Amino acid sequence: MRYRGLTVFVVATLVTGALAGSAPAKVGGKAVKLGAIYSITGKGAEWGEHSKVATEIAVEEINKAGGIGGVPVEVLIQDTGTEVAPAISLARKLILEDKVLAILGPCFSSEFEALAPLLDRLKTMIVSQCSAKPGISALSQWAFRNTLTSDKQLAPAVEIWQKRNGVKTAAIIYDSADAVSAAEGKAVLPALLKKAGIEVKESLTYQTKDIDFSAQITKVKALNPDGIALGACYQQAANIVREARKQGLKQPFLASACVGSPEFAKLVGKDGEGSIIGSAGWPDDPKPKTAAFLKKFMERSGGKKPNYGGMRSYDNVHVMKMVIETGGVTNEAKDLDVDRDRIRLGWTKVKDFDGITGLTTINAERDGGGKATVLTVKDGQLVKVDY
Amino acid sequence: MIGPYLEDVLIQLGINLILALSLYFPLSAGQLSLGQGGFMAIGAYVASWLTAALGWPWPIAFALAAAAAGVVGALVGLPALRVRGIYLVLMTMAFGEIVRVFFLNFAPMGAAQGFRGMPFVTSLPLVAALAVVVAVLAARTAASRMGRAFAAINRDELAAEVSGVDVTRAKLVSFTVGAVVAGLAGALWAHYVQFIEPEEFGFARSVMPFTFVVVGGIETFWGAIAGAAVLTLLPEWLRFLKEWRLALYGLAMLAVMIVRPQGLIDHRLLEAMRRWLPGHAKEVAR
Repeated sequence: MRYRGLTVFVVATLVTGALAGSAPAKVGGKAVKLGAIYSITGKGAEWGEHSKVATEIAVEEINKAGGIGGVPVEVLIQDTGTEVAPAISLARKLILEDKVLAILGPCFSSEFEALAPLLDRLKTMIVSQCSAKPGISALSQWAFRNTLTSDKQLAPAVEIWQKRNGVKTAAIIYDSADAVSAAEGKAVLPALLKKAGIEVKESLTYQTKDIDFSAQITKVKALNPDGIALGACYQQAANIVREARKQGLKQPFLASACVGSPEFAKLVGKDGEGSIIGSAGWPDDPKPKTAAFLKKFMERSGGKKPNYGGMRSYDNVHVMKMVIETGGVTNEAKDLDVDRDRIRLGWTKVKDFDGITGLTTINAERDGGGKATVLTVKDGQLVKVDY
Repeated sequence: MIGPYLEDVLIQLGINLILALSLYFPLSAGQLSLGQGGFMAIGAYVASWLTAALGWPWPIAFALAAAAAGVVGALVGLPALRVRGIYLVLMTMAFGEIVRVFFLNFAPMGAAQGFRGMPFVTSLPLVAALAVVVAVLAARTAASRMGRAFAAINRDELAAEVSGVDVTRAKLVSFTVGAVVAGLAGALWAHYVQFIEPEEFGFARSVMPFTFVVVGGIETFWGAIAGAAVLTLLPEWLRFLKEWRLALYGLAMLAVMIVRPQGLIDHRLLEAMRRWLPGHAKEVAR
């Protein structure tokens, strides 16, 4: 029994070694080195922290099972503080000094948008786990996002919201200071609502740091629409929902991307019952893979459930493994440039990868394709809506 | 040879240094501005518009951006300088917010979505050269008639006025020069990150030069330089502490304020250094 762990390790190594042997080339080197730039402090701290924990879980699993092509994987995780300048300097450090093969993150669209144009020179791919602003992967052929942009998250959510609640008129409240929320409030929601035949009575704004939403809700009350659509992050969204209930409004809420965090359901509790949220991952998915991940994640996060950014980070590490093993990456120092390009090429071909967020496909725009997850709040929990 | 990461950190340091000096000018005349982020935003947006949208060469764009920040600085300075102390702080703070909210709603330059398309201009040699130019300007000003007028106003405004110093003019000059330098920092920043959004230039950005100058010492411009250097490099040195580094960064700042409330560098320290290095530091001690 003493040697069971070792035996498993040896067998796993042999098996993966044999599998790798059948691939075009064998992965060499001492370690497969990847970089990660996550926003572990600052305004995006929750997203970065979840991504970090999820990445560590994935790395541990992969290394326990014999690594990537028989070589252990190592992810150098760096904190951007959710700011643009460190995101740039850290990415350059990872690429030029640490010589990583590819980079995971960043989560926030502002960091991603600043970084993407530099990649044509740096010739190393990045893959964001949660940047939701439509259109910005187009900035470089090295820029990928394995997530759904907010227009894709919201499209099915609008339909379900309309069907369930008979919504004919709506008010939009959005954060005009946050890039993704502003894009949702100004462009994405008006277009989708118009397409669904819903009349937008009024668009109201606030700014990220606001805590009092009584003015906006009073205005909405006077307009009395059938529903309220939000372009917001979960902290403010929760306050808006609570203020609405306080003022006696019963309208159903619609939101996406940044609201798709289990913390939102916890904060709104009963007040948020029936809210519809377009998202890119459901932490309570009973699927065995997801359930196993959730258990490991909660053990390490003090009982917190992961947001979809965390879940997608976990998937991204596993996609990296697949891409490196099947793409002929040699991991030799002399092949670094070719290997980086092989990984980029591999990512363009990802189709129906079975991960914990469902089937992952990278589309022609280098964004995540596939089906959005629509969630609703039920008894203080996020529950998936089937469609 | 320096590595690319060190190069990035040094570029950021250079920009911070220029930003710190932008506050040194008004502060040396007793004018505390918490609106430097606003001037930086004006510099960043004007320069970016000229290079990205109109395709102008960057030297002209940078010069016009700094000038634009200066013009706004003078316009803000005229009414602002009639108020003093805490009221001036509040007024400049409000100005910074107005600029941020303006760009947040200014659709031609992307509003909240941010603006991009600028070429990469801000190389380390360029930043270093401009930082030296601004530092020399600060040194020359400190030693000039105008600099002594600033110092006199800083010590006692009434006494300065009685002694024949044109207080309003001196204050306006100090404020405007500060705005020009902040505008230059903004132009450099925009052509370094190549993507700007209004949130980059919020209140936190205005407080940054303030902490630089306070930690470094407000008595001489060397304080601004030392403060910017220490506070830019410290979080990088502390990176090995991961999530705890910002807590330690705060503690370090607190420690400086307790041990050296006048800041890291003051006249006495410079005097001591001058005695220690005869000949070399005569200029420094000014």
